[in-house]
Amino acid sequence: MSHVIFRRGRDLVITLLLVGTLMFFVVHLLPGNPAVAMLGSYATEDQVRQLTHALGLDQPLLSQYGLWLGHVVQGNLGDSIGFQQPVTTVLAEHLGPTALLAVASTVISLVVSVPLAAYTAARPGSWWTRVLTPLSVFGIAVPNFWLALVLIIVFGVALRVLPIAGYVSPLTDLPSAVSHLILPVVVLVAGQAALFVRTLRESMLGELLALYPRTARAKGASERVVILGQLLPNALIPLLTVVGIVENVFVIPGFGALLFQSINSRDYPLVEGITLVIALGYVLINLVVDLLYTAIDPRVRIR
Amino acid sequence: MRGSGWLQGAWRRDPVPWCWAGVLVLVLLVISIGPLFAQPPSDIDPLIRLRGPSGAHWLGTDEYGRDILSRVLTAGGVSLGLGALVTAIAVLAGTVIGLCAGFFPRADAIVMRLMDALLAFPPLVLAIALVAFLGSGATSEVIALSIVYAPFLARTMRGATLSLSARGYVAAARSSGLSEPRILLAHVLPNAAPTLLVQASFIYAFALLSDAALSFLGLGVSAPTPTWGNMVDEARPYLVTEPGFIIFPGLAIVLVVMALNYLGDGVRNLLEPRSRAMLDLTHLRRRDLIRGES
Repeated sequence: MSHVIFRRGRDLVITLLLVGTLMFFVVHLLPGNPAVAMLGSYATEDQVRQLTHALGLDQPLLSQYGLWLGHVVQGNLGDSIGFQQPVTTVLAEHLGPTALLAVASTVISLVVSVPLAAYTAARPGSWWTRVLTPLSVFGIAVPNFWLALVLIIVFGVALRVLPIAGYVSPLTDLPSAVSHLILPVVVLVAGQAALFVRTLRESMLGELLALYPRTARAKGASERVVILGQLLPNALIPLLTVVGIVENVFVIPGFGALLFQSINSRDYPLVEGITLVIALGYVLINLVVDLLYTAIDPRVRIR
Repeated sequence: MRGSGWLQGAWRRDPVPWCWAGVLVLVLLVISIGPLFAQPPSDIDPLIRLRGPSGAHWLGTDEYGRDILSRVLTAGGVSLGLGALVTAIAVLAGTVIGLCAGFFPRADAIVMRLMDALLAFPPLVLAIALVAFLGSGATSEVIALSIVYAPFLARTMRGATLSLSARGYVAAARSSGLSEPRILLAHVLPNAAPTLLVQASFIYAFALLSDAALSFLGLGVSAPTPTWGNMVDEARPYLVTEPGFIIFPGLAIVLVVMALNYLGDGVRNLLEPRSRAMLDLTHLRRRDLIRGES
């Protein structure tokens, strides 16, 4: 186990370095100057030159890169040009609510979808399956921004039972925080749980084709033991892959919008910071998924 | 030979995908013929702003007094066309890249690392970043979404090529002196086509959703031309006063994307032996259970 973690840790550092370096040069080679973006189009050439110098953007690209890399290694992502704040502060402000939403909805989706998938795979003809299957396709097909607006119309405007906007930290006021989280979590769970149910159900049906369920039944195991005790654990692997690539954190508009805004205003440090966080999130999720694979599937361990 | 009995069997096993295929054809018909009968989508009439459904305007009117039905239909043409273009480009690029990567080991390592790097980014974030670089608008949206979705097809195609290249008939073709490009085009590509077709229908569905999200964010096709996504965005301020305005373009997206998903599943179940076996199994289990219960 420890050498797996070591190898993955090394891969993590290499990936981050590659992504960070690539992004640094792409962003810096883009036409456009953050100084112009900050000062507006009426700025004189002198003002632009002064600000460019103050931001250190008139130095050779390689020495800028060296400086940036040195700071990143020390955990300093620099100051956002647009927000006039350290990048880490800007990221923390935007990431807190986003991460909370992402984790909450992923956990709820898993809790909801595993029993549903097991049930629909075991009872293909039942009434529930006939309702749930189209519902999961609907969950995949519905654009989340539209579902959010429709739910706001129903629960926020017509029924007036839930707040329609805003974020309250769970540390200050828990009931209010929960009521603010319900709608966004429901929207995210709709899409995610649908995908999970579909993946897990398909993989369970695939396992039904194998011979071991038949053997187990022949040996007198009850259907419950066959489905829950044998099929389900074996079918979990593809589900893990989907959970791994779920990009939840980044689908939530706050983060995507921040990236767009920072690219548009040529806020170099912020673009690089966001990219690094996305890459870090992706690599960490994959790391966890790989470790879970090893825990669930003995075949992976042997390899 | 597979005859009409085969199709009947497919229908009997699972009629649902074929019903959805019918829905899709119907939507396409309405979108292509409907605008001929509806009033022009950009006719402005300030006197009838934000009215609900009526005899003259079946789905009501928007904030400029434009007919929502005719805008939903026109937007459908724009969105479905854009999605089709993205799918076509992505399929073409993905096929070429995947075939080359799967067949020429030397190209494989470099090309697939690049594809992996693109796949490492969440699709919508990558699309947003690319549009930010390219400038918003229809052309950059198509380019961005093609770049986002081509790697998915490249990966599938590479896998298919690798497994097909190991087949006996490829070795036979090679030993009978066929050139490599000829083998690729005449033996590998046709056999990978079903997989490609299934993937393409899902990519189309995803492209429609991404197009909706991008134009909702104001990064796609710009305002006077309607798309389903930018109609939802335009309707946002009238959420409370005129909810119908926001409902219909969204429903259109859901309908088409659901149909494409069902269609992709249906085609896959027909063409891929493994999922056909799965379907037969569910069919049998369902039948047994129904008999067992009665």
